[in-house]
Amino acid sequence: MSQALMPPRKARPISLTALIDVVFILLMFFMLTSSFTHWRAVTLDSKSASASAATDNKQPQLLVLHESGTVTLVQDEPQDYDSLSDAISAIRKDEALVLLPEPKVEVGTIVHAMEDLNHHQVESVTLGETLPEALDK
Amino acid sequence: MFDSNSLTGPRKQSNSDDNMIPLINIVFLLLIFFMVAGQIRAMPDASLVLPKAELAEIEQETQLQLELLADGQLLLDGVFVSPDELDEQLQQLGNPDTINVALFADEHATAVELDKAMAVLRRHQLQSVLLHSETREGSQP
Repeated sequence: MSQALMPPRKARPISLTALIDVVFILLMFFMLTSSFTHWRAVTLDSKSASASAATDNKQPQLLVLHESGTVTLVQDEPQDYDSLSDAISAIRKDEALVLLPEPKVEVGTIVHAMEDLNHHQVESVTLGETLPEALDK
Repeated sequence: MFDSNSLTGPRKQSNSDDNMIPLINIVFLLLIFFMVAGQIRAMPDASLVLPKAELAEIEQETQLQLELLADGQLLLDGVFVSPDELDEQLQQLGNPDTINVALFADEHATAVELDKAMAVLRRHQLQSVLLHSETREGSQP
C-alpha cells in the first residue's frame, strides 16, 4: 500500500570499489596462507614393518652410514665401501635392510641414502637406532 | 575546419568505476589461481629446512605433526616440547596404533637428535612415522 504511494525506486549500480576491496582482501589471504611446496615422505617406523620383522627369523642386512660419507655393509661379514653408490650393487634387494647412522650423520644424508635405496628397489628399508658413540669409530 | 566530434556526438563522460574493470579482472584471476593451485595447510617452523629428495607420495593422512629443528628442539603441532612432554602427550592419545605422525626434520639435525625423538615414538607403537622431504625444484610433483 505504502509502496504504491511512493515513486518507483531508481536502480543504483553497485560500486566496484567495494567489490574490489573484498576481492583484494581475499587475494591477500590466499596469497599468504597457501603453499606450493610438494612434500614426499618415507616411512621410518610402522607397526606392520615391526610385526613382519618380528616374525622374520632372517638376520637383516645392516648398512652403517659413517660421518665421513663412507659406508659399511654388514651381511655375512662387514665390508667397507667409499660411498653408498659403491655398496648398492652388493645389497640384496629382496632382504630387509636396516640403516644405522653414526651419531653425527645429518638427517639430510639419511634421507638421501633412503632415496637412493628406494630408487634401487631395495624392498624393506628401516632406520635403526643410532650407533653408540663408542662404536662409531 | 572539420570537427570529428560533431559527427560522433559528444563523448559520454566515463564513470571512474569503469577504469577499475581491468584491475578487478586481474585481481580476480589472481584470486582464482591462488584458490585453485595453492594448498592451505599447517606449515612447519620457518627456520626448518627440509631435506630435498624424491621419496614416495604421501598416501596416509597424518594426525600429528612433529618437527625436529637443527638444534634438536622438538615441536609437536607447533608447540615446543621436551622428549618427556612428547611422551606424556602421546600417552594421553586414545588409540596410538591408529595414529600416523608426520615428522619434519631439519636436514642439518643430527642422527642422535632424530634417534631421541624416534625412541619416544617407537615406545608408543604408532601406526607409522613418516619422515617428510621436499621435492627438488623442477621435478614433477
